[in-house]
Amino acid sequence: MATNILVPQLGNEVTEAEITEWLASVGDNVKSGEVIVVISTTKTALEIESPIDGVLSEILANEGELTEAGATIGVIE
Amino acid sequence: MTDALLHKIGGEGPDILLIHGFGADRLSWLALAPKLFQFGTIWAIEYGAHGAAGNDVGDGSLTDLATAIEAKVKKELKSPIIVGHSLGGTLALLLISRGFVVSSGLVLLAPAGFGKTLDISFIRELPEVVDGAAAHELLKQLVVRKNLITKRMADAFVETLENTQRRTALQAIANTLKKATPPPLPPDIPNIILWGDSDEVLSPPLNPPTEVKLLSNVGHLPHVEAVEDVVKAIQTIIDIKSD
Repeated sequence: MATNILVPQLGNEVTEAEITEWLASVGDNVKSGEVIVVISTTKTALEIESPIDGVLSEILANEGELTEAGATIGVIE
Repeated sequence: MTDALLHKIGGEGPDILLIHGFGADRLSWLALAPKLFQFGTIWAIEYGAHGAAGNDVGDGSLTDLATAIEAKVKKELKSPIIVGHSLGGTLALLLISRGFVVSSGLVLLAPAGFGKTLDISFIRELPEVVDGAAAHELLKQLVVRKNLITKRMADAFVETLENTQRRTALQAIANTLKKATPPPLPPDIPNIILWGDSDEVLSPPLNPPTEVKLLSNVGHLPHVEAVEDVVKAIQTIIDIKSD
């Protein structure tokens, strides 16, 4: 079953984040809790962990892209 | 009146107060704060010349900054655990040592001046930057993994300095810190001090007056590069309080 990787809600004041670095590539096996992507606001960086064990099947936002809080940026199957 | 703003970030329960470092603000806690909602009510203070606070910093001294924080915190928060980063750690020590705030526990992240001078080149240089590229190079000193500091962050910081009152106020703090005496560690309050072993801004003290837990391959921002270690430290302080 596919599980989306989401940009977390960043509070009322921050609505978007930049994809700083993908630490996994499409096709990689990832573990639950493993940091797979780093995002950043204008103030700080946040590490996003894989929610499940699986394979990173899609990257929907590339490094350098701005994404909205709550957006799906990747898929794990 | 010297400026400070207190922000309620989220959570419910015992008060936990976050005090940011020089040049940072409430939003610099974004990676850590949501992970603390399970423990209590999370507050973040912004002192003068930072974030949404105004630019009145008095004479820029630690005392004036701490007095402004006291005015916002003392009536609102009950014996908070204080988490202070860098200059925020120094201010936490001053708030407690002068009796401005009663705290039930301390987690200090690379507290500035801990055991030595407050004359720190990063603090002197930060208010002087005039372009994004220079700011980017300077800010990258904060972390081991350099790509955690983006050009977008640096540009946003330089934009804040386009307000000349903000730049002048930061310069006033930096100038005053050079001559300041670091406050002592309070003897009767449970505390944990965390420090990145690869901190380029402020090296871990060689002969600290108390135990310092070194974090491997972490720079000056443990709350960004070692979030789970900071969460565990806060959990430990809460557990000590509960015993």
